[in-house]
Amino acid sequence: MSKLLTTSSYLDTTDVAGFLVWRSCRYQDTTGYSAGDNLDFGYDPDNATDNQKTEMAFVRFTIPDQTDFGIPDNATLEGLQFKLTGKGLSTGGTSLDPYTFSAYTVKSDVIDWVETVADGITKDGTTAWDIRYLASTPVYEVLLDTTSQARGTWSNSIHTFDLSHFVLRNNSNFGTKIDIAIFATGDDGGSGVSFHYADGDKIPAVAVVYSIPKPTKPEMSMAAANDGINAIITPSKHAESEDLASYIFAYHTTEGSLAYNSNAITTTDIGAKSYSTKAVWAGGTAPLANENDTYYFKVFAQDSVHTNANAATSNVFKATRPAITSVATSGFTNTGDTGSMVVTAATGGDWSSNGAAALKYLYVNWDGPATGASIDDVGVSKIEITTENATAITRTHTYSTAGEKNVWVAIEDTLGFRSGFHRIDDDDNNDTSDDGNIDSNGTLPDPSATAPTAVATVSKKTNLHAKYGLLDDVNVVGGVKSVGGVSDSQVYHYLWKHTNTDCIVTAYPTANDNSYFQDASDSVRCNCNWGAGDGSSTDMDDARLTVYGLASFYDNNGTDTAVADSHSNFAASGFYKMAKSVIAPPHSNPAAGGSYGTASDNYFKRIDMIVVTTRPSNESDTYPVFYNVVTTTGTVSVINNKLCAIPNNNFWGGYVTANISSGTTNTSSNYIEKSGVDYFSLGFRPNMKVYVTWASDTSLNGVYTISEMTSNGTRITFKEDLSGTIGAQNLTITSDTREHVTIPYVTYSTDTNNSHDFTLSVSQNRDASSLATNAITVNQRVAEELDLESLADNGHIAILSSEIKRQGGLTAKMSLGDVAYPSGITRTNIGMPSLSMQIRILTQDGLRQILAYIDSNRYDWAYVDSDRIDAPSTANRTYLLKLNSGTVTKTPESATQYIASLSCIIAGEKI
Amino acid sequence: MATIYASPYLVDVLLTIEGKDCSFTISRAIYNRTYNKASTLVLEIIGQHSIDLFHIGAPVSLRAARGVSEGANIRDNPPADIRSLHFEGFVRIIKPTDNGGLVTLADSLTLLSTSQIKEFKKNDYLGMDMYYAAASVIDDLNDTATSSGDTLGFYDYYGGKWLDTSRLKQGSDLIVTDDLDIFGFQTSKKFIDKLFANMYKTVDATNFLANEYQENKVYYLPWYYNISYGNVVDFYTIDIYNNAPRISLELNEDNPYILKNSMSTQIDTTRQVNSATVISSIDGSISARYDDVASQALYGVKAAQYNSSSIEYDFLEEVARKYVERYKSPSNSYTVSTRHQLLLSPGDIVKVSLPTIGIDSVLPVLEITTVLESGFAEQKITFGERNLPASELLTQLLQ
Repeated sequence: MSKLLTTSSYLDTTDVAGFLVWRSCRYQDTTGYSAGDNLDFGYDPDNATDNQKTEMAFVRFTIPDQTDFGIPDNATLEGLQFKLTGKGLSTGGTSLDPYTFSAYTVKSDVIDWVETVADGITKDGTTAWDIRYLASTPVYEVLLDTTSQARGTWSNSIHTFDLSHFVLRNNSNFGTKIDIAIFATGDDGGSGVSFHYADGDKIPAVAVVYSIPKPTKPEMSMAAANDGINAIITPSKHAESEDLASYIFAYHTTEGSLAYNSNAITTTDIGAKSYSTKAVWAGGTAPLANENDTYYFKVFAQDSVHTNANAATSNVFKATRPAITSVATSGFTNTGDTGSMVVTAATGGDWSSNGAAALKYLYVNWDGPATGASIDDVGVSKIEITTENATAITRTHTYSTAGEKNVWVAIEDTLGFRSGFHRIDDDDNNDTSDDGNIDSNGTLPDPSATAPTAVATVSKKTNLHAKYGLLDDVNVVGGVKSVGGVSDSQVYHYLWKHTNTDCIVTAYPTANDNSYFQDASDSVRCNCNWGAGDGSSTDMDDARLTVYGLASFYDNNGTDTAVADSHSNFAASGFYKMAKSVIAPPHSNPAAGGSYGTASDNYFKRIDMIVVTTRPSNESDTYPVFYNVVTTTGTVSVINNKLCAIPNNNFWGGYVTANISSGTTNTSSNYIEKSGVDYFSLGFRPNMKVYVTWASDTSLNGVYTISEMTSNGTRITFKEDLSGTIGAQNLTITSDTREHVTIPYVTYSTDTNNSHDFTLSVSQNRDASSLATNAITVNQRVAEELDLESLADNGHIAILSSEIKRQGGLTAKMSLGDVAYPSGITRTNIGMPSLSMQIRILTQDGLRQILAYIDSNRYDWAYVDSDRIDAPSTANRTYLLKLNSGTVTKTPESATQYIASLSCIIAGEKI
Repeated sequence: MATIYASPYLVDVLLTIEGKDCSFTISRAIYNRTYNKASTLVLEIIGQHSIDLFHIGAPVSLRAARGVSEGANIRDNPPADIRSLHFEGFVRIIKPTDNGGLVTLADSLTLLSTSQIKEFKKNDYLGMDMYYAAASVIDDLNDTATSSGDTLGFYDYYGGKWLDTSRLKQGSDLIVTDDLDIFGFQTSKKFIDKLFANMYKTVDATNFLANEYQENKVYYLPWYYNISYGNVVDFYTIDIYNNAPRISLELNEDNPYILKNSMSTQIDTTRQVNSATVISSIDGSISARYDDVASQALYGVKAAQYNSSSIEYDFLEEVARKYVERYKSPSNSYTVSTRHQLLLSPGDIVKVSLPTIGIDSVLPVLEITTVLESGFAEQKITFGERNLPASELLTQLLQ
């Protein structure tokens, strides 16, 4: 393959100094014009008599070498061009038109004229110039080429003389000296033309025709790039050529149309180990954009000669990305439910015939963004498809959160090519219209929140009705094993209620803050959240609360008289004993000046239990009641404000909610306020944690602790800070029932044994909506007691002896050395109380009851008096006895009767 | 209604071996429950004839409750509402003695550790919620063990479910990712343990309502698993950081729940760190240190060094800060014994105020040992906090 250099590739004497000389000679002229001088033609000295052109130019040049031409060193000469450019045109003469010029070889005897004959009228010093065209002794020999040009277009006309045959015949090559003569072959009768001789690129110039070897064919292979969307082209064999200049990368989706200019990108990077289609076509239209469409590729290796279609071509290589034809989902109904998704590749098209036709991986983001998902996102899983020749994959998933999920999938075939990462509903841009990526769209999973599971438990299946304030009477219901149905929430509410309308069930009977009695015992009193005047039938003063605990007394001349232990009488003869008091709420609501009911007759040092023993007759779902027990002396301190007994109402478990219209918020003093609303009556109380939501200023929505309330109940002050400036707006306040996950309770009845349900309702919503419930049944009964005093009084037994003992609770250590007494004496409790007695069983009735006490669970406890000394018929204490060990002995001395030895733990006092 | 004679003071017990009532055979039961492993029940067996009823692999059920009435007899109608003493398991060890023996049983979770070694392939779990992945392992065990259960001496005993996973619905929203080094040949238990070692619920206070957590705090709550009762499996976290913790019980020295001389505590400083230096593993010249001066003044300097792939100083400092915040206090564990209530189980939250040993905290119940014997129904409760191993926490912080 040859290449003809373009005009711009001609070399002249300004490019390669001295390689080209010429001499213009006129007939019988005395001066020869040398290189750099005029190249004039057309002078006619014999004035048209012989009609012969009489002027010529001798031209000599050495063909510049490859370097001069900027062509490969291995280029071989195949032709030569000599170029002249028309310049001036004189007027007159015959007005020859066109002008014709011919190039000839030069006779050897005159060949040196161009350089060696500088001046003079002879060629040899004696002979006149006669260089006429067709003269009898012409100086030229062989016509090489002829050009002609019309007069009118003479100026700057190009005259190219093809000297190819000449150089081929002479085996000329680069560096060969060439001599030619240029004749004007027409006679213009005295006029003439001239060629440029010194004007820039118009001066005489030489070009060569050369040839070089065609590059070898490159060999390419193609594999998927890491992204699976682009490809890597790897040359197994690069094109080879000393002049290799560039590669043209071309592709087309129709193999037959693949040409050097098909989506072509030319790169001069001809030695790379590999080419990324992404990088190659960075400035163009990248291939492999369409899925399930085969892209054919070819590389064209170009040198300085072999370009475009003439370039050396590689093998054709191809790639086809898979496409998703369908996605089908099923299941996903609720969180926690396993659903499945089937992703199917498009088959029967290019991917099947030209691509891998088998899948290797599924990429899936089960919960991606609405738009703009990337396969590199966190959350995208690459699932290997292990089935051979798979064209579909089924995958299961379980959601832990509710709501519509944007599922994105891509498939990758065994060759590493991937489909696009598409939303399964074929709406990658989230504009609700199909994108056309998936033929049969999937449906986005939209699992509903699985309801929480309420799990109610109870500590004891049966509890005794409270009678003496024993802590063992307390039972506990708990909901801590309840679980949410979603991962992004939790069980926010535990709502408890009981169904017992036969007995009285008191919540939180032991949640008593006894710290106020550290300094001095005190009487207690109570109020409740409703009172006369709050509504119709809201007087709750017929309610009765029984307070059990340790109270202070003094010996008032033989009478145990209640007194505060800070009183002087206590200092003289004071003591503590278990006692109970009955208190009642006032007639009026505190907001209406009711304050508190009458104080207890006892001064408590420690309150073990407070039990609602009479529910108010006016209590109803409209007017549910909680009780607030406080101290009497000095600053009012809350002992227990969680007491509640209402049946069939979640108010029992501390659930309260209120929607307040246009409430005021004071962020300086951290309170909310609403005139005309009595929060206290609604059930809110100090130390209660509440969810508060503001309709507008939602940033403050949170969990707050009620620190105090105004007496009229219109204002709630929080312990936590409020911030900002908040205008009046609607408020919602709901108790945070998480603190009521377990509720201790006691039941009260003097005569009813029964079973009733406790119902736990849980919600994973802060507004306590969508409740899930679980009910448990718990038994309550009256304690079974054995009255040993009556047995004795009625002659069934005789108590022979008894011993009360309290042991333990105190430790001390004797230190080494001669210290006389122990140190580090610590009393951690007041010791275990016990009572042992010896009984003579006198009757069969007595034997039956004592054996029932010893042998079975017939009795929960027995009780016996410890009599006063000054009044033996009066009990100083009456002890409740749990049998620890019992012995019934029969000896000859006892005849038909028995001797029983009872060792008991004192469980409490009959008060 | 008939009088209910059941005594709330009496702990009634029903023990069955392969479905047969054998309550008369035991004189003592020690029931130990904790997290991430099987509960155990040790029974003291009375009489040589009784020991013959037990054989390795025999399914044993123990249900105990206080105050069970005739109207709700645990024999006829197991009290689903009293779950803390409901054990279902298998005989694993028998130690005969002259007149009886000791039998050790483990609950159904033991099947996870005795399961066949199988290959847990990454591909089967990638993208799954780790919570459901763990649940699926148990379900797989249900499927496979049932068909070969007779090797343990029984077959399909619980209606095809060795372990009841019906409550495992919640999920964790933590997916199995490619970089988890948890796969390969192993027992089901090892695989589940590895899953749980990577399961931490992130509680970022900024995502919750005001005052719900300490402002700007981020907590990492480990997930646990156990059988809460019977063969019912629970996965749970324990959130003691919420300002409204779900407290099951309050224990203090003023109430009668705690038995005398039963309190003990362990204060462990081995994991304490109050000066953390995090060094870039890319450029060792970049490091950040965070000190908690108050903690150092109180406990002395407890320094530790960690590496991070980040080269951002601010990031390294933040990692160091979070680390110190998490570990600047000693880790505590406490043990008390109580008899009053048998309500608690591992995972419950208890508020403990024991000035005698310096506790005033909301603590999770980690382990409970219930002892039932003559005149004795007592729970020994271990409270404390499972600290994250350093490597695990660092992983969390770097995410």
